[in-house]
Amino acid sequence: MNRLELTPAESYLLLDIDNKDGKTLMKYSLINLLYKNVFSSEVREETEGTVFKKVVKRTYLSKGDRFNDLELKTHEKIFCSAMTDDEIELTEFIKKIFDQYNYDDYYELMMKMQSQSGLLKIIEERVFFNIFSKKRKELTETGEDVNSKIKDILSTGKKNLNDWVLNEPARAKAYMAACGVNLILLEGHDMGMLQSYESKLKDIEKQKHDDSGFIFWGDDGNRISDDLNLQDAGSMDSISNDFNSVSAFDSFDGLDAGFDGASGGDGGGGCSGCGGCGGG
Amino acid sequence: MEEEAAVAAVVVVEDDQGNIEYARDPIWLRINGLIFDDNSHSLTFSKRLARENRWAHWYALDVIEEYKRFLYLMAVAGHPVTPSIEVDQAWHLHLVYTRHYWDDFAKHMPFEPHHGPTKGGSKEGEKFTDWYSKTLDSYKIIFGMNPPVNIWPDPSVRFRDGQLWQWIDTSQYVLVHQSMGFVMILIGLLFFLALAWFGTA
Repeated sequence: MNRLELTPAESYLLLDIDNKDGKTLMKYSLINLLYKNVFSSEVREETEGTVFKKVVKRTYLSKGDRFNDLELKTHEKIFCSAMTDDEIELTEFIKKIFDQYNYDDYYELMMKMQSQSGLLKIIEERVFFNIFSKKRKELTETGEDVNSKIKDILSTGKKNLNDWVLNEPARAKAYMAACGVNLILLEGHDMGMLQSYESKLKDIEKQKHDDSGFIFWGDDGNRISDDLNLQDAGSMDSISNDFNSVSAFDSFDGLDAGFDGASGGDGGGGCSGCGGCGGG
Repeated sequence: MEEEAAVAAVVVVEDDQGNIEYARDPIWLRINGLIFDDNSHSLTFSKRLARENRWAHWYALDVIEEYKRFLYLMAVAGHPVTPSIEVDQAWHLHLVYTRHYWDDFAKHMPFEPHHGPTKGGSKEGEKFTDWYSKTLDSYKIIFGMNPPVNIWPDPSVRFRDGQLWQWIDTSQYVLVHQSMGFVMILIGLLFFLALAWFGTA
């Protein structure tokens, strides 16, 4: 296997399949979509309140240049499906996602995807007098292999990336291109640091992929391209400088139950049940 | 139906390698061009589909896209096809819109797209599981991608044991997930026992 073709959310999941962290999975998916220019974001300062006015920062999402261009994996495609407006405030957008998938649902969806890809097995067991069901997950042999490759790549980057940027920029650039936005999983390297690396390496000719020895980790949806280029793949700059804005996800803690109570769809008037049907 | 599906496979457009090029196939173009929502109505097809299944509207639109793919598979797969539960819901609703189904869609197909529900029994179950697996395989071959797992789940999920689907007027009932229901009963029992205990103490 020469290419991992994994999104950051998939990589994060495969690093620890028992870590039921749907919120981070959603966050990483959205970051990847911003990175790939499927979405673009803008942070605006707005005044709130009538008597006691205060200025708040709000993040707005809109369709990016490549919104209709890329074939995305299911866990990212649902974000595009929910993007029915030209522009939407992030919190409202997450609410729309929640109409169908809360954090747990999203985690389950991603588990099923990895099962479909043959990276893990989901074994359902009935427990406690056959009343409750419990799903046991385990990585397949291929999944274990992918897991160890991700760990290897991360550990290589953690150990060397800073040094490469200073002393072997071509190598650093090849590494960053091979990883793509999966670099956000790199321990000890925050988004600001990665953006500064990218800026420093802007004019550097990267090592040819074949010579670099790095496995292609980033995903390009269903498209396969052997000619990797950091600029083509996306840019850290496409992610809002106010990176913490994505922590708007945090405001959704505990909202699952509230959204479960909302009815599916927004059907207006008309016939209720089948009382309004006709024929002839 | 089986023979009709096989006959329909003849019209498939193939490239040099013999792969099906669905995007250029007139049957696909016809199916893909179907417009389900009449926006002059307040309750459109997709909104009704979303409402009846408690789905988000955007998800219902995704299901309709997959339903179109299913209709195409029905025409070209060369074997009987079975939809996922989600796609089947779109199919059922489409059948209710009889004029759209028969006049705008079926009339233009090289086969008669009838809907055949199960007759019940384990043999039928095995038959439909087999057809569903073949449908997933044909999807991969014809569309060149894995079917999205949120709309086309694994056969073991699609045909899991103990399913019991019913149409319910939710204004008359409170729907609680089975596991949550048992937990609530357990908590109620414990509360009752505690009351009884303190009452007698």
